[in-house]
Amino acid sequence: MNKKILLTVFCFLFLTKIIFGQNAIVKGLIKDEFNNPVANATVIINELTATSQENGAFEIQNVPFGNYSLVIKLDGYTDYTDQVEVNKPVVDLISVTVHHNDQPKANIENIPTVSLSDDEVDASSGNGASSVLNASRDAFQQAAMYKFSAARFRIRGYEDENFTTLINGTPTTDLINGRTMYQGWSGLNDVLRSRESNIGLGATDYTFGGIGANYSIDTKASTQRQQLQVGYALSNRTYDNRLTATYGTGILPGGWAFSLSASRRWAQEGYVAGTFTDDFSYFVSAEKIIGKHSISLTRLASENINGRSAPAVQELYDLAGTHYYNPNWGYQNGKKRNAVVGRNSQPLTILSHDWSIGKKCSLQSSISYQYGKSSVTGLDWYNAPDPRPIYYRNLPSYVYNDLDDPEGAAMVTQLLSETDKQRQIQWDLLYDINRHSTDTIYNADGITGNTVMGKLAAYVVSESITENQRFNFNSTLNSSISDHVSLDAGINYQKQQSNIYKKLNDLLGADFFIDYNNFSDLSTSHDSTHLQNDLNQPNRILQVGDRYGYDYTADIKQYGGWAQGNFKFNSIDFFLAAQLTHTSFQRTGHTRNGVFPDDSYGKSQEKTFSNYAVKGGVTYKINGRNYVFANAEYLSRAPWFEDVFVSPRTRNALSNDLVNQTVSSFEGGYLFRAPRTKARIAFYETQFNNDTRTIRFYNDDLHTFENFTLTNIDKQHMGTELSFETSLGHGFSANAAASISRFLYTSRPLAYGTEDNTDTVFTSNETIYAKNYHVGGGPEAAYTVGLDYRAKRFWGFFINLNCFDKNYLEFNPVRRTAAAVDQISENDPLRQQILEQKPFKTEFTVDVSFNKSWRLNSRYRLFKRNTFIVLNVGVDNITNNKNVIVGGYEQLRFDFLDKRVDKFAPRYAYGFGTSYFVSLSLRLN
Amino acid sequence: MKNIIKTIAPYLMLVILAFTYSSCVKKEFDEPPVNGTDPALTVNRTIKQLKALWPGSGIVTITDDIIIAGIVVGDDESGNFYKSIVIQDSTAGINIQLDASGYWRNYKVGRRVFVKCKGLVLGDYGKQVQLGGYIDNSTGTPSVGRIPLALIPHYLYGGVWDLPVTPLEVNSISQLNLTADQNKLVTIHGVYFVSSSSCLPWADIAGQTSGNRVMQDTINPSASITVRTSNFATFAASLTPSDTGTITGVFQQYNSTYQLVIRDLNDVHITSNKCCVNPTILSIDSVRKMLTGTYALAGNCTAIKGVVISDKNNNNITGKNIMLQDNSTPVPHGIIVRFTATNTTFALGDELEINISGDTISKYNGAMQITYVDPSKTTRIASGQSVTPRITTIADINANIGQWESTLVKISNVTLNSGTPGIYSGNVTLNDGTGTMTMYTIGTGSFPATFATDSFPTFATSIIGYLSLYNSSPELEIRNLTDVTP
Repeated sequence: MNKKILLTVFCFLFLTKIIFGQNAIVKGLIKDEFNNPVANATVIINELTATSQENGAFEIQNVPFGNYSLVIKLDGYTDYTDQVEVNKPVVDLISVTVHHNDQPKANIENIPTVSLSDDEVDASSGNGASSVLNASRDAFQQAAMYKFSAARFRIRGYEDENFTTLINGTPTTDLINGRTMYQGWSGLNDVLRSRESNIGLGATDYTFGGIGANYSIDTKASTQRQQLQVGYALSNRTYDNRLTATYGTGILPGGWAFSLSASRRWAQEGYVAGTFTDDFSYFVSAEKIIGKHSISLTRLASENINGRSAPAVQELYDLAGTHYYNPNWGYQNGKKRNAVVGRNSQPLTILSHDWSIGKKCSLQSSISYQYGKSSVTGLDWYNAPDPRPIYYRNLPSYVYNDLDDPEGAAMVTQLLSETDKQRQIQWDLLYDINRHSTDTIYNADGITGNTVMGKLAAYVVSESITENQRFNFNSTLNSSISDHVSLDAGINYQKQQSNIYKKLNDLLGADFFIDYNNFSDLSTSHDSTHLQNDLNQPNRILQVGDRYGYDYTADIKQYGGWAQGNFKFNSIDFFLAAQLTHTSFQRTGHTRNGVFPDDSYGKSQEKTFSNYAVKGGVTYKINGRNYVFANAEYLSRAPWFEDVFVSPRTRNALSNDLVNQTVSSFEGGYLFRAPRTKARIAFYETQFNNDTRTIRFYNDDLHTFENFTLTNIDKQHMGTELSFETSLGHGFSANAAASISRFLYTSRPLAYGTEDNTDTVFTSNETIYAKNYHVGGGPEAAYTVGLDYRAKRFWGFFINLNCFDKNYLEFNPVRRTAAAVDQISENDPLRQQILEQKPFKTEFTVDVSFNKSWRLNSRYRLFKRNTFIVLNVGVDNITNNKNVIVGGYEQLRFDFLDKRVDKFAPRYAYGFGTSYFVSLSLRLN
Repeated sequence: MKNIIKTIAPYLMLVILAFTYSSCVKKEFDEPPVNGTDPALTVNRTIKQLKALWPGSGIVTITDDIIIAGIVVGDDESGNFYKSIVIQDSTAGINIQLDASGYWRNYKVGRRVFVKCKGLVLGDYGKQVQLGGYIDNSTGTPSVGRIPLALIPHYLYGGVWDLPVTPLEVNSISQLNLTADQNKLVTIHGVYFVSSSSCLPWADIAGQTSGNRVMQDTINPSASITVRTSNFATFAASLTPSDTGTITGVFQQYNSTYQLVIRDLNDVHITSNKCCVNPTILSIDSVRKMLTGTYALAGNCTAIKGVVISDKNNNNITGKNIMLQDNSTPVPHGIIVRFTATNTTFALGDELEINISGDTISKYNGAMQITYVDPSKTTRIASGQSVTPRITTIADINANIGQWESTLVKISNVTLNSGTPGIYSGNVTLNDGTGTMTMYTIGTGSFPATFATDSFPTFATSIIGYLSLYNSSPELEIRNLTDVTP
């Protein structure tokens, strides 16, 4: 209640010019990008609606003075949203251009699923899906979202933490690692269309945001289309079938609005062998508008289970004869079984309140709660050899080079290329082994004298689980102080509690498993307490469903506020914004790790960070068609939970030298907007300083997980973005987009290495010679040119040629140390081999799509309402280029003894070859 | 509201449909059957026949379709068979070199393993025949290369699990045949680790080297076998036992050396009574009283303390023996301590603490002794200690020999007389007027007393020596010539 009063007071303080009791007429003409009038479009302003005439004209009367969103909706067109200021009796918008919904929905689904197993995710940043939610605004954003995403293009090369997505004001960032939780709403595209997207450092009125791009999705029922739509799609990508249904009531008499949507996507086997998907998503939203208030309750959930693939070394792709070899599966009783199965279910419930406090002041508040878990399974083993087929000793190159056995290598080559069985997990063997592994556990479950005999599993399937509980409160105020000045401000509180643990998923034929540390090697430590994952429950006998290994809770709290002033004049606009954030991290261990008995159980020290950010920008309007803009931002950022703790799985210890990262970013550019042509050119330069990252990987030689914390990471991202689209007449239009960048390290980070099975520090302050290495993880240059044809009779054909260039692999810091090239002379080609970072080959792809819609009610009387059948056909990569590398990493191990780089060769993932997506949907408006 | 329900209804149906369609991605797995059968392979050679193909030197490649089968007797479960597996059939055993760690999970002790030998190679390591994957020329000298990991399933086929193997049982190391018995599972009875090998870690973990611990048997003193243990073995840091018992393991040849590799500590049935750290000190009197039958065993972690009253330097005592006397009250007692090796360390006047845990107390020709005493379990506390001899008469000695055996006495005014005139060697009769007794000096064998051929005086003012029994007759033995005062 106090809050409400405060905000009201706040509003009044700034509202110097409020005009009461006046109504106006808002009118205009709706045209498409080819200047053709657009009829039958729905125009919405402040809950008032109108439909455009044959000549595209519309008029809405009795609009009270104030600031509103103008929304124009029509099938086949992208929703148009803009701000209108109603401050005179007749507001003539003259001409509003709506765009054909160029991109069939087919493309939205085009995100190759290259899922990394748990330990590998840490090693490579999984940023792939960041561009999914871009609304198609200009050709560049279109390309970044659809055409470039196939090659894992990242806007400005930024990691996911630089992008902010809000749903009804609720942030969706996972505070553990800064990634957006896209998987929480996958499959709900139909109801997530209403969104605002802003690339770069410009002002946004809903959040201070990240430096990459900001997205605000509005799922309120009143903004959803009034329609019933059902659709079925057939594809050969990550899923084969998709069934969707969406229903929206629009605003009903009495101020109610409801919206429902559900989708199911599945594939017995996806594009890549052994992968499968089963995804069920639903969305329920209800809204009640009471005068100036609107209360909305939304729940969205996506429950999915998917069998994943993993990157592999080129040698295995060659042996398999395909770039879609997947080491994660194997035959069990003749059927394919995937060891790496991801599950996700984290329903998000948002209660939001929109309040038009005055004509020029609105307040949007939301409370959200999200609870659920995501998990991924994997093989786990104790006192047994690594069962994974990608183990390097299984490969012909190892036999050839390390065993010096060319004939053996030839035989291995033959065996591995003969049948797929040899290249995959041998499930039957694992069962066989487990069934013959009788063992005796003394003092089982920590009870002296308790002896348990039976089949102790050598191999099990484990499930790494994160149980999230997130609470968020968010409030944003937008107010217009004068014709020239408006103010946006927000406050935010987030609390995330994540319980992260491992669970026994399958005993694979054994009687029990035991909670021992697989990595603690008795022959080196000879201390039996080291073996215990949990000293509080030593020798614990495990059954399916039991937690084991590690179990801890991450408690993260973040609160902050931001404010932004926008100033608009005839030829110049500028803004200034600032943000303050306070973040705290704490780990609570639920196990007492045998290696770290005094630093693993109970609460850790609470670590807090205070951060600030400022940004500002100016746009100079040369005339109505030519604009020049420049924006700059400086911010400090706390490290993520994952990097704050050396090894959260095992202990409470904090990483050394924890400092805030600082980021300074600048962008400037030129915009051209004419009725037939739109162009944008932007330059940017961003400097990241003092970043801290922890890389975790399993070292097979030392039988341990290693934690490699890099501090003092400086990076520079700079480049140019180009966007161009023009109408060629007769239904043809052309588009082009390009991103030409360079992402480089500008410092020599320091490495601090620890192991999970000992308390020793194996390296401290080791210099990583990384200066001028490429950041990697996506192409630095991406280009597309396209030609669109839209016929008058509701069909269109689209073709794009894409090019990806300067794609570098993320490098292994261990290989860029003095130790790695120790005793190799400067001119030895080996030195070059160890240190070099080569780009992949330039790759080209061609995508085509076709869409057509039929209006049934004009032809059949049966349909009383507006009824459409919409067909979308998309064929991506029609030339079947199977060489586009879309992910991967240099293995984090290095052969210090022989310095043979290929021993632990890089692992890659390839983008799909030719793939199709055909969808047919029925729509009743 | 009714309208809403009406419009929602068909949609809800769709949702329900979508739900019920969920059988389409069912992922439930049958479990494979328990595989307890042998592969369909016909064995066409015995292991002995296969080994006979090795010409005695060099490395040969097997070109015929030879299939052998044997039961695993040595695996790497404990880490002691590093990258090698040993299988055995009724005719012989063979060592197969594998480039795999932890292979025991699949080829475990007791599992029958079939080997398709075509393409494999036969060579040797110290004359021990090995089956391997290829000829490894990387070091310059050709050697047997391990079968690459990826090819192991191509050559080795697992059959029935948990089959018993009866080891070859012997009572002496010398009963083993280096060639015929190599890589067979053997059990040796009556063996012990020599003093320099007992109570020590099986391997040197800190130094990262394998341990070579030597055992001998109680039957053939010249035979020995080296028990070889990898420093990667899980039990490498445990201590070798100290006593005598039975050991099982895979018998191996390294040129002329007999080697044994145990699988784990379950193969060792030998107690470690002598390896204790703080033994209970027993009086010699109480030790002597333990012997009520033909022999007795000293308790676990026990020791005796006393001063050496024999003189190793003058050889008038059997090489492995010392005579030890304590100062217990009311009367001191003594006993013969027989070491497992010749005593070159403990001299007259040394005060010792001797760990006798598990040692045998018995009589040898009537004289009580503690045998199998490990010299390395003996600690010298001080040296140059003097023991005051009991001043007595021969009559008293004869009356009290049961109490005074192995203690130092001094008799006075003695006449000396022997059959062979003049020298100490052998028996000399002593007479002090109260009675007679024998004085014995070692005069034969490889190490006679240094004074054996010296002439003795016919009369002595006093003679000092320790008392011993020879078939129930008391004897007096001097240590050196200073014991006799003419």
